[in-house]
This record gives sequence, structure tokens and C-alpha cells, in this order.
Amino acid sequence: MKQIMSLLTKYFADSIEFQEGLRGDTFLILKDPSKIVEVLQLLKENGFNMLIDLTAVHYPHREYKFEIIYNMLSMEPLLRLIVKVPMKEDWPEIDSVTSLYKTANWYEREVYDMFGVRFKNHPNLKRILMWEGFKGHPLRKEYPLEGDNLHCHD
Amino acid sequence: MTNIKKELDIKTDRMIVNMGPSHPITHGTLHIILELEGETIVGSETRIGYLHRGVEKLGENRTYQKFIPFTDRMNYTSSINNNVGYTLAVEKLLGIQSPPRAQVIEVIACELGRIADHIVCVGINAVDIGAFSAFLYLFKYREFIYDIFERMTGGRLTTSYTRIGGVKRDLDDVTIDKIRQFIKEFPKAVDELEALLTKNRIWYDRTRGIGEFSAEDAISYGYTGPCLRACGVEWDLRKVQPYLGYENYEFEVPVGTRGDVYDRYLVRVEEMRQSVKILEQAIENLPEGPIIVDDPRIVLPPKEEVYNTIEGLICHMKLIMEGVKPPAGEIYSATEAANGELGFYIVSDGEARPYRIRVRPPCFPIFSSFDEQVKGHMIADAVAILGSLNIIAGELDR
Repeated sequence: MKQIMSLLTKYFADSIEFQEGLRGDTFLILKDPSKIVEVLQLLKENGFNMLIDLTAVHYPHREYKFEIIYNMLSMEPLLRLIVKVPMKEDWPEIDSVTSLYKTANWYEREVYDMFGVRFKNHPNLKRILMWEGFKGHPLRKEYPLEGDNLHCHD
Repeated sequence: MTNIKKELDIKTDRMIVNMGPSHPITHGTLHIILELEGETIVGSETRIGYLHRGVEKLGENRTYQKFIPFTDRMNYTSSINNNVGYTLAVEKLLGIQSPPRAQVIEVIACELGRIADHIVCVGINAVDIGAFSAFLYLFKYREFIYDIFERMTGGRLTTSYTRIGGVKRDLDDVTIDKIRQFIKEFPKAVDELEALLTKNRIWYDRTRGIGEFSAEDAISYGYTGPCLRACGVEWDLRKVQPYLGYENYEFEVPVGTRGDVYDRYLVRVEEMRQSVKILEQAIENLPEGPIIVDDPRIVLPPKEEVYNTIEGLICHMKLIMEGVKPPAGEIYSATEAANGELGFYIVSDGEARPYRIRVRPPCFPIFSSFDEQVKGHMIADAVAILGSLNIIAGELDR
């Protein structure tokens, strides 16, 4: 872990920050969202061959409204690293990582569907869990739990 | 096939075939749109989401304990593994560990759940391909496992067995006897299954070389569990990142070579045998002691205390009304469920409700590779591939 941390600091010193998690997890905060593909590429070339999970968290009352979370796994040796990308905008846009990890295709569609985060250069960015024409993004905090019955589909 | 066509110059149009949303092989509601040229699949598009219940949104709106029944309904063929995965994640967030006896009971529950899941997967996959008797022979033992679960948990399919910091009920002698009986009888059933299928010419021809997947692709697609191991990658979280004291058990991790449907079947069969081995060790070394941690902030007090003491009553009321309050922070915890890595990413802001629960389901990334796997195969092969990937709609759509 130390090696990969020093490597990341060497190349992206001014745009990243490391955080220690609650129970020994390592978090990498990427302050410059435009560098996400480069960072993941560096990680991929240095052992982090699996993108285990990709998700987002919505913080409507914070300055940075979204956090995109890339959950990385290195199989040999076993390392886990969570890359967090804070985003300021209400409707954020970030580069797609489908060129690096094929699994990102569906995960990114899911995050787009549930949160309305757009992914640049995604080959097929459309809804995956909700039907086409559904309005709203259900996992945003302002979306009501009981649903929005005004938007029945045609 | 293509050569003959060229010589005869038969004109075939491309045809679109809709498989599902409700089709006997789709194991739930999935929609697969196949583009055919003759009988060969040249393209496909999968649509999921028919069952979307918003489990994550529901989790954000209730306390930590009240999410346990929802985990049952994600992978309903091995719900107990989901219970264990979820409570382990909350325990990690709280920084506690369940007592030794509870851990061994959870291991027993997990392995029984894994066997039940593999029985369903292998049996239904065989039914889809046309071998019905293997399914009938095996399903007897799934009933057996569900009888054990009924005694252990009170439920057969939706178990809700584990609690934050332990398990709901202790194992009694009858249950232990039943598990012993299962350990004794089940290996024979696996032998029977292998006699029926492994060297069966039809089964071999229908599954060998179908849906072959390289280890590199599998890793890029985020495969975990039996499907990844069938590609020849020795990767099992029980070995590489042990939880619940799995490092104390002796078992092997089976791997395949080619990553096709046949290898996935072989890996699952061998895993059932290894699970029996773990069960044997667990049942023989069941330690004495409590089954849940003794912490009134996390665990409901026994009913006698609730009825007879004011402290018990207050603890009970506070836990029911407010719930467990973990420290603020974020954790990711993963377990090896029957299907692969089941992860929970929990963001806590220090309140009684989780700020965000993210479930990392094993079959969502696996299924995303379906379009690539079926290309060049026939419709009947698509059926075999779909069964071997072990898609559970409840987990896929969440």
C-alpha cells in the first residue's frame, strides 16, 4: 500500500489526498475530477486489476454535492482502495472509465440512472433499472421514498 | 454452417427474437433481445430492472436492524449468506465482533446456504438444458437444508437469522443432529449427481466450450465467486481475506481451466463437497458460550429483563425507537456469498439510520458480460450460459 501511495503522490501530488478510514480502510480523495481516467489507469497498471464497485453518494447540503466512489481491488497482493471524487455541480459530469474496466459500463449506467451523474464517452449511457422515460433519479436525497406518482408512464 | 451457406447462397435475413421478460429460463424477469442470423446469435441486448424495488433507498430510511429482512430478499436462494454479509458490515462499522459460538454458527449457516444455492444453480441449469432427473435427486437435499433452517431460524426461505453482534437463536440438539445427518447423506447425493452429469455425453457436449471466458476478461468484468474460479483464478475471500474465523478451517478452493459452462458446473460441485468438509469441522468444534454480544446499546435485552426490570424496559424501548447509533464514517465490508463477492458500502453520519447503504451484488457485473459471451453461439447455448451464470433477479435489479 505504501508503494502505491507514494507512486500516486509522485504523479498527482497536488490533486489527491489520502484519508484513513474508520477500520483501517484507505480512502483516496481525488480533488480534480478530470484526472479520474489517469488515476485509475495508474492504479490498474500497478496491480489494481478489478473495479469491484462504482457508486455515488448525494450530499444535497454540502458544497460538494456528490461523491463518486470507485472501489478498487488488487488481487495480488490483496489491497483495497476506495477512490472518492467529490463533485460540486448539481448535475455533475465525469469521464467514463469503460475503456479501462468493462464492468464500468453497467455500473456507470446505474449511477446515471439513480443519481443523474453523466459519464462522458460512455458507449451507451441510458437508464438500466428504471424504464426509459422515467423522470427523476430515485437515489437522490430529495426524491421521496414513496415515489413520485405524478410521473406515471404513458 | 457458414461454409455450406456460402455454397448454396441461401439468403437469410437477420431476425430479432425476444427472450423474456417472462420466460422459463430467465429465472425471474429479464428481457434478452437476441439478433439472429440463421441460428447463430450475432448480437444481444439485455434489459434488467423489472423488479427494481429500491433496496438501497429503503435502507436509507430505516434503522440498521430493520434492514436485515430486506437482505433476505436480494438473493433469495441463499438469503442467510446475505444476512451474514450485512451484519458483518454493520459490526465492522461499530467495531465489534460476535462471540466465538455465534461465529461458528454463522459459518454453519453460510455453508448450508452456499450448498442450497449451488443445488438450485446446478439443478436448474441442468433442467434448462433438458436433464430433469439430476434436479429431482438434488432438490430433496435443498428441502433438507430448508428443514434445518426452519429449526434454526423459524423461516425457510427468508431467514433473517443474524443480528448485529450475533445470531437470533442458538442451535439445539435436534438441529445439530439434523446437520450431522445431512453431512452424512449429502456427499452420496453429490456422487449421484456427478454420475448423472459429469461424464454424460450429452451434458458434456452441451456445456464444454460454451461461453468460454478468459481470466483477463473475467477480471475486467469484475467476476467473483465460482464464475471467476472456473476461469482458473484461485480467488476466494474465505481464503484471502478471512472473516468469521475461516482461516481455522481446512478446505480447498477448486479452480477450472477454461471458464466455460462445464467448468462452472464442476467448480460448483466441488465447492459443495468442500462446504460439507467445513460443516464437519464446524459442527465438531462448536464452542460453548453466548451467541450474541452483551451490549445493551446494540442488542435487545432478554424478555424477562424487559418485563421485570426498568433498565431492561428502557434499553428495549430505546433500541426499538431509536436504534443502534454507530460512529460517523464509511466502511466497505465484503463476504464470499454463494455467487461471489457480496459487499456492503455503508456511509454513516452518526445517526440511527445509515446515510447511504450500497449493496455490491455479485451477479450484476457477471451478467453485464452476457452480451459478449453469447455472441457466436446458438439460442440453446444462450440458455446454458444464462443458467451457469447463476442470475438471481432479486439481486440483479435490487
